[in-house]
Amino acid sequence: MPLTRGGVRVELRLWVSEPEQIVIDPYPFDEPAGFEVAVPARGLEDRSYGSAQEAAAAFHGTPANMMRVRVAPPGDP
Amino acid sequence: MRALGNDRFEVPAAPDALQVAATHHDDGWAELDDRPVFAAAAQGPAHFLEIPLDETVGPYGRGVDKVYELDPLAGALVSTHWSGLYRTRWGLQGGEPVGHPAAAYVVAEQQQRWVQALEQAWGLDGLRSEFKTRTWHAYEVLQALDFLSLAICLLDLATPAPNGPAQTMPSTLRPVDHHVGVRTVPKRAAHTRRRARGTPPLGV
Repeated sequence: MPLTRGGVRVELRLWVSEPEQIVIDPYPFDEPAGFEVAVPARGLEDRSYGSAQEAAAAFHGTPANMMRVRVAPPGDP
Repeated sequence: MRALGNDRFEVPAAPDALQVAATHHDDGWAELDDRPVFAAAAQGPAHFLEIPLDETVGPYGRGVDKVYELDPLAGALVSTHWSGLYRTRWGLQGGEPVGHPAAAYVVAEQQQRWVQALEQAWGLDGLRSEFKTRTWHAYEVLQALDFLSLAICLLDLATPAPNGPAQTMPSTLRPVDHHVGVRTVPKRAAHTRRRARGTPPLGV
């Protein structure tokens, strides 16, 4: 785990503080205003797929969009 | 990682290698994700933990090979990460070692590989003990980043979490559906397992 200055390991807590924002406490990054990450994602229908071919067709037929998520310190407005 | 470290946290050692490892440690999954693997029981694309271990070894290993090509020290970190997935993340999370024969093979192979890579990266420069300590710290930071990436991928990011009891990230990975709540990245396993008599110590 990231070490505090002084060499102590600490447990990190993560939670969704608002839509598309994850807070980390304590916050180990040097971006005090937080930062954004982009994750490619496909949204598939939440249903049963009858075969691997059907699931693959649904997967490959759905474009990947960039999901943007902000990583922020606690108490961030 | 260039963005890690502040007034409260140390800047991890080997930031360039750590950045390469953090960026590329899961590249091997692309080979499986792009199929995608089908989970017959669930009748849908497989969650990454639904894929049989022996189906993941080849693709993940090819991803690790590419990291070694980019940076041997990053490769060593990723070897440690991969094998650690089968060995309680080397003490960071609870549970038991994965008993699958493929897991044992990966652990043995990757230990040998990372020892050689670290010898090369150390290059007789300074105390090997300090280099070893810094490398293991970089590995632990990689685990925190891995858990953060998993949280981003698995949590319901549209729904804020209520303030309440937390669950550890390792304990919540397996389900496809996740309940809203706080997660923790453990600093070490809640208990330690006594080493069985006759078990050889791990390398490095």
